Amino acid sequence: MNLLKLVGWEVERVTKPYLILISLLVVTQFAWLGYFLWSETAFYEEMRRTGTPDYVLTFSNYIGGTPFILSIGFAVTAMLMYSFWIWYRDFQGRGTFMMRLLMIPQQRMFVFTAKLFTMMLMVLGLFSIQWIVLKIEYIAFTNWFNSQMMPISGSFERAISFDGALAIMFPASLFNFFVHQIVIVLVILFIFTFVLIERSLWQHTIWASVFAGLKLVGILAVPIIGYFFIEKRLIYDETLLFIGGVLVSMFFMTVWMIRHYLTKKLNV
Amino acid sequence: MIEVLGVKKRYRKKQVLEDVSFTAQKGEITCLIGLNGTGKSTILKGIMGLTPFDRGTVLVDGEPLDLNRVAFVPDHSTFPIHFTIEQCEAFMRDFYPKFDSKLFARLVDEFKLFLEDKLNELSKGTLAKVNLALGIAQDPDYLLLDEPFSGIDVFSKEQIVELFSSDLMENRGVLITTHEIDDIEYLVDKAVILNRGRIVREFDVEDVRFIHGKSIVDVMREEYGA
Amino acid sequence: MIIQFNTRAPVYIQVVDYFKKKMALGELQAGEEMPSRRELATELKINPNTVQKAFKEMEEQQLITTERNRPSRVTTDEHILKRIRTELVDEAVAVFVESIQELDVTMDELVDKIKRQYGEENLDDRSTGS
Repeated sequence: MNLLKLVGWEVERVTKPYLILISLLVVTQFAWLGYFLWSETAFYEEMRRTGTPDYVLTFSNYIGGTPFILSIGFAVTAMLMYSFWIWYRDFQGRGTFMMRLLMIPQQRMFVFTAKLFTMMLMVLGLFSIQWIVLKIEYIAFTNWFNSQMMPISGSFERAISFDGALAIMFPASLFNFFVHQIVIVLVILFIFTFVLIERSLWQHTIWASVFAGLKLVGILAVPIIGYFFIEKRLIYDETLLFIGGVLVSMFFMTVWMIRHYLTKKLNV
Repeated sequence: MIEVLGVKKRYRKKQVLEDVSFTAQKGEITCLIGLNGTGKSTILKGIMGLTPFDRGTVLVDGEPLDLNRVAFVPDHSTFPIHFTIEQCEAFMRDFYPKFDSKLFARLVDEFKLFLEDKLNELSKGTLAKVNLALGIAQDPDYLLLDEPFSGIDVFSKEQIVELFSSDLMENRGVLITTHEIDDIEYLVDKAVILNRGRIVREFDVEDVRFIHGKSIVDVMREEYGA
Repeated sequence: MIIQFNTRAPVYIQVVDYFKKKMALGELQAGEEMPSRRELATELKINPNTVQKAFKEMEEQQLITTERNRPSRVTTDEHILKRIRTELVDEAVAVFVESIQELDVTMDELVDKIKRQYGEENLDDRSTGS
């Protein structure tokens, strides 16, 4: 089936940079872990010589370190950038490869669906690799400090739930996980919509980007402003319902817009 | 028959196509003639839905465009430039159901192409031949070609011209855009002249020679007032 | 086979004329097979439809005959072949006369010149052996 082949095609094209990104992430985190274990042990030894050490290490000390935060931040930024690039790449040269994609005898929405699937595969891949790496890091963390007779406290789960980025990536409940995934999909959809609006305007100048940006801000502004008006009148459950409704309608809105621009407006 | 009916296209403040209507028959070579920047490419891309028209209709044998039956050969590559000819073919085979590898192999042979060559290593003439081969191998009923002779060497030109009079084009409708008619003077059945976003003449080439003793260039000269 | 086409005359008529000349000169004999339409189009680099039209014209003028699914052949009708020759000579003379009339030459002078030049050229031809 063409859709699956297209996904395969998109995945194939991103494999190399993706593997580089993952390796960078893993190498940075392990290098930081090595340094963390070494410096903390040295510090503890120093304290032991001069007096009584009175502090306890937690896993949060490791994942709260600047190198760790930077590695996650870098990966997230790379993903966001790639959401743009996955489209702009095909407009390089004189609108070239996009032309080929759009002339495939099939539904044009497949081009979009394949790109969205690819993005989600990359995001979920990144999350699962990060999860495995975190587990390994935690095992190394506990084993090392136990072997050094250094006191540690706190569980793995607690450390994750206190960390900003990791709590979003790995929420405690499955329900929250789905909600977070939907929000991630929405972010990608907004980026896709932006690109397609911008590419549908004939003159690809800075004004096209401004126009596309304003259009999206307008769409986002409606529920946010609306929320401030009704916030005080809602009880907790109603607020949840409101947010759920907004997410769902945003989803359909962006998909509808992508469909409209991709099939009727896009200028290659 | 491809029918282009009352199409309009505006880019910002410039009305590129005012009101364009013409037809291109199957089994014939129709040439869309216009000076540079008159919107010839826009018409072909519009027919293919790549730059949608603002107004108007395009019908292929009375029905909306079917990409299985119409192929477009632009004057530039449609693949990433680091691709080899073989990779282009593989993509076409994967995604274009009617792509005929045997036909492609025959064209590669006739044009003396090397499958392992990368697109960015090819001369303009060779690239034009690759594009053409990829287009014809889709075995389309209608083939749209954007400036197939522009800026390419004389021998590539000869090979391409020969192709148009060969059995490979039999029963296909061909629509070519050009701003220089010399290369294909004796190839075309019908000429459509575009000026300032309008079709100013649409004529059977042999009829004009027979009845008025005029060449295509004579008619162009009348229209463009050069 | 190369034909220098004139852009201002119908190509199919130029193709027909080309074959008429070949028939008149005996380069194409009565009953001889004509080249295929496809070959001809590719060789002359012209539109196959134009070749088709030229063949149709030749069939109408009974210069060639075509049976179903077989290559066309030059007519075996000697009268027609002779008529082609006469026609071509007549046409050439007509063109010649028209242009010479503009120059206001007397008949005697003209005949004299023709005799001298035409004779000389034919002698030249023989001496160079072509």
